[in-house]
Amino acid sequence: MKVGLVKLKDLKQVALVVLVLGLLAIPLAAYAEKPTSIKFVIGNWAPPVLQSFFEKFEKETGIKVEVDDYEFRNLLDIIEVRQKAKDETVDLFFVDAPLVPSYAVRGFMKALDGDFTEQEIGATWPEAAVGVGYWDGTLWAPPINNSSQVLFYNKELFKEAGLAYPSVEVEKRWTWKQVVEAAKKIVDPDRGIWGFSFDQVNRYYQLQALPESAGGGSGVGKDGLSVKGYLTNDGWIKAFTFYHDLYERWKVSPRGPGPVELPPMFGAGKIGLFVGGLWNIPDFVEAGVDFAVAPHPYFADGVPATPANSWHIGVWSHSQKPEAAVELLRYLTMDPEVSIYWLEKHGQFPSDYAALDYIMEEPDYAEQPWIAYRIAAYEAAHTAVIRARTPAFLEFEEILLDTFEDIRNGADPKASLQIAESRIERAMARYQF
Amino acid sequence: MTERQARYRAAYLFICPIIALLVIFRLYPVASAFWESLYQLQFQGRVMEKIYVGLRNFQDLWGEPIFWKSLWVTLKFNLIVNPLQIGLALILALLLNLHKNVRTIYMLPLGVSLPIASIIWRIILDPNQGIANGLLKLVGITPQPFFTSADQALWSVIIIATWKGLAFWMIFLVAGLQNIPSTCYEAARIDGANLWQEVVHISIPLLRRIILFVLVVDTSVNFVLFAPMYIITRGGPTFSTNVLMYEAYRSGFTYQDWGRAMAIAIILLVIVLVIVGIQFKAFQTREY
Amino acid sequence: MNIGRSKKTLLRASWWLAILFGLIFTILPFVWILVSSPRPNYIIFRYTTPLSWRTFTPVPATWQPYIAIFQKGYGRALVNTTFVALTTVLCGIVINSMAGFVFAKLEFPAKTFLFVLVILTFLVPFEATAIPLFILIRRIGWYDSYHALIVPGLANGIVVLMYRQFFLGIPTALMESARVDGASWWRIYWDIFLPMSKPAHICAALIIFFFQWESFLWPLMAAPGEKYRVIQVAITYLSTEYGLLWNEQFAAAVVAASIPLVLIFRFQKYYVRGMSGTEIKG
Repeated sequence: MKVGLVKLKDLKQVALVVLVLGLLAIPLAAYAEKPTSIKFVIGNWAPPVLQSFFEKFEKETGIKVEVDDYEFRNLLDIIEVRQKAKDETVDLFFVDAPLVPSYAVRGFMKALDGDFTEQEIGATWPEAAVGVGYWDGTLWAPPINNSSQVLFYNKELFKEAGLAYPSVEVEKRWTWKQVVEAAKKIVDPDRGIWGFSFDQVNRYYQLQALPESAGGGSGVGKDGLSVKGYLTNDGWIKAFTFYHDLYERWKVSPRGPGPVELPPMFGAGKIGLFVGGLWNIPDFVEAGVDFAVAPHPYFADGVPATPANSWHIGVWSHSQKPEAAVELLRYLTMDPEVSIYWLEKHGQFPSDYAALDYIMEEPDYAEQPWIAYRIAAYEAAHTAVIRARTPAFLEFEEILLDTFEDIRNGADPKASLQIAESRIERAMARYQF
Repeated sequence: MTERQARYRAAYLFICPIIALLVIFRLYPVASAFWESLYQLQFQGRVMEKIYVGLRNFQDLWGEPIFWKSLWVTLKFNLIVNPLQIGLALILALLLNLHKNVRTIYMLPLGVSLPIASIIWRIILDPNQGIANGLLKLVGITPQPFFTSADQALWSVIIIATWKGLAFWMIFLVAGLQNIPSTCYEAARIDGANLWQEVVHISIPLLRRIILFVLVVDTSVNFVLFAPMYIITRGGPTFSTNVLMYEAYRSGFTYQDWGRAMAIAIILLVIVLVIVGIQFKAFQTREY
Repeated sequence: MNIGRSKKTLLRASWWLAILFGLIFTILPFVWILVSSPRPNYIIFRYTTPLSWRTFTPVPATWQPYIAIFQKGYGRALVNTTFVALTTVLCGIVINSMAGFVFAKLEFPAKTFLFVLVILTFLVPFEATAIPLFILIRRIGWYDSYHALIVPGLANGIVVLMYRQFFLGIPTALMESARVDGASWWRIYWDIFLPMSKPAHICAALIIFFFQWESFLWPLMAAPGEKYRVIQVAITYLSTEYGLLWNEQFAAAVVAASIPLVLIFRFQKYYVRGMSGTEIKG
């Protein structure tokens, strides 16, 4: 491209500068912020479920609901990022139940004193479900979902091994010993078949049931600011020696696959016994594996314990429209239509009395595998354990995750828990006044 | 205007857009981020507040065994991965300089992003279900624990990093090789040089400029690489893959301890700067 | 004579064996996602062990994942990412090569300082600057827009360094004689250096393109909505609350891989040997 004019060269330089400046200077009128719209930061699984309710809400109140949805693994990080940026465009957001203390001390939510009456709270939710949304005497975030876990078993593999099925009655639930015995008869490395696995194999949410059942407690002291001695008591050591042995001694569980790979493995018929969440049921049905459910196992000389809790909804602390946000919050968490719809259409286990009663009355839930919901309703009322209440929950959970993985890969349980204790103590230091 | 002044003017005009963009979108955020390393979040009664702590974050790191372990893992990782990647890329570039089709197949890893590559390699290297152990079994080798063993985990990550990196760096080296005029080789051949001599005495020296580039950038990329650790090993087993950048990422994005995260980032930067400086000095070329 | 020939064949054979091994290593992950993607989700892991013909053959096969991802807006993500990547490449090549040219061929005050500054910008990992940059973008009003995705990615220290190294290899004499003939600096840059540097442009395009193509954290923060979503972010949305839709993610990865690969194959022809050699004689 040969052009001989000096002027053209200058023109090109100018054009380039203008281009760059232009890119920098175009004002993008961000959002024409409608006075009657609120922004909800939620997980990407929720919009398909809640869309119809958002529309209903808009029709009745005139407030439009806009959604910024994120995949689960990113949701928590993004909440942190947007809070750090003091984002004022968000009004409501999903709060993971155990993070209520952490968010409360860091000022992520607006307190909900006065937005719900005592009577309303008592009539809508059992104490175990809503108690988690309190911290320091204040209600911060009521629940919208709950969760529970049951024992899934592969009927075909059981028949092959000549084993009797576990009972579906909660009084006759299997002990861990019985689970291991059955698993040993099923495991077959040549065919790639495993005896037993947990669902979220390395998460505190899943494994807390073990030390709790063995009498070891939640791992954190009463004030939520210390773990010294709480992770290395007899209950915890017993629980995680058992966990360690599943992989190292009895070799009935697989090392390597993570929480996203294990449920599909059960669905593919490669695991005999599986302790996992109710949400797996639709996937297992679709996968065509011949399975049934039984209650969560426990340690024979201990008490039954099951994981619980799920998502709550909180009002964003920098929100400019808190009243509108609270209106939507009350509607979504208290209206039984929402929880029953979520239950019926998407298998989401609910937290409110109305939906729980529905489960006990609807005849569909008397059959396998949907009877799991009735089992879960029992567990929610009697055996559910609440995750450790501490502002340092993120650090607590992360460090335990690494610890559980190390134990799973063969590290000595006692030594690993001791290391975890000192690491978590250190992390908690900055939360102490 | 003198010639010198004309040059100065041209230089500044040409460089203006890039410096402006870098200052606004890179350097200002960097300064702002590094400023964070002087603060900590502390519980002050009912809520957490950010308070100035000076160099306390750095002091805390100094006394933390995990920091030193992570530093060691980072150095170990880079001492292996950088020469490995560049050495293999160089060999491949020299071997495949003329074989366009084979070369193209080696470029396939470029299409897959590092997170997805990590997920796939985790499946392939699964100790029980993975294809790798399946293939090893066929030739009679015992199955390996790969990511589940503290001895092999880092090497497994090196495999992933090399898988992706080879394709990328090979391209630049091939570009550099293509750029060497054939006259150089012809002259050497007339003088009686064989293939090996051609490579050692012509190709490699004339590739110096490109090799420096590949070295510097590969170093800077690998020092902050942490996607496979984030997705697969989470720094384990027992911290054997806990590189500094992963530690910083966790401190920041997961624990919201930005003071510690930025302190680690600054330390990382100093280390990389020193190494890159040495690389520049070692590969200094005169212009001609 | 005989010994020499068999030695040569042995050398050749081991050379080809090494290449073959390298090839298997290189394409194995590809083959895996290629054959895994047309499976129903619950079968993905059924045949990984024990190793059999079923491991590498999708039976039953279904195109459902490929259809599903496009129903979920993946097509839009492809268009977005391609647009963002190509725009950044075109503008980026010009901006960065200008700087590379200056660092390679001109002397001026503060040159070393500015060069170190440029190097510094790619030594600092992006994650460290993510949040301040996020706050800045929000303040400018570029949140959720193409501007947020393109502009911060234009100035790339790596590309500047690459151009500098490349231009260092072009003889200064060329430049000086043109200057003596009265050419302006812009003409020297635009009409002499740029056309000679096709391999460098390909390399720059590669760096910038892949930087944008593989970008995840920044687009997630700055442009999360469906309108401006990019590929890597879109892939993570192919999931449920508790698990990944493996077959869809693999299908998406296959589609995401094909575009840059097609571009690379087509641009390989610009690696023409000795091209810059002939230019020098001019």
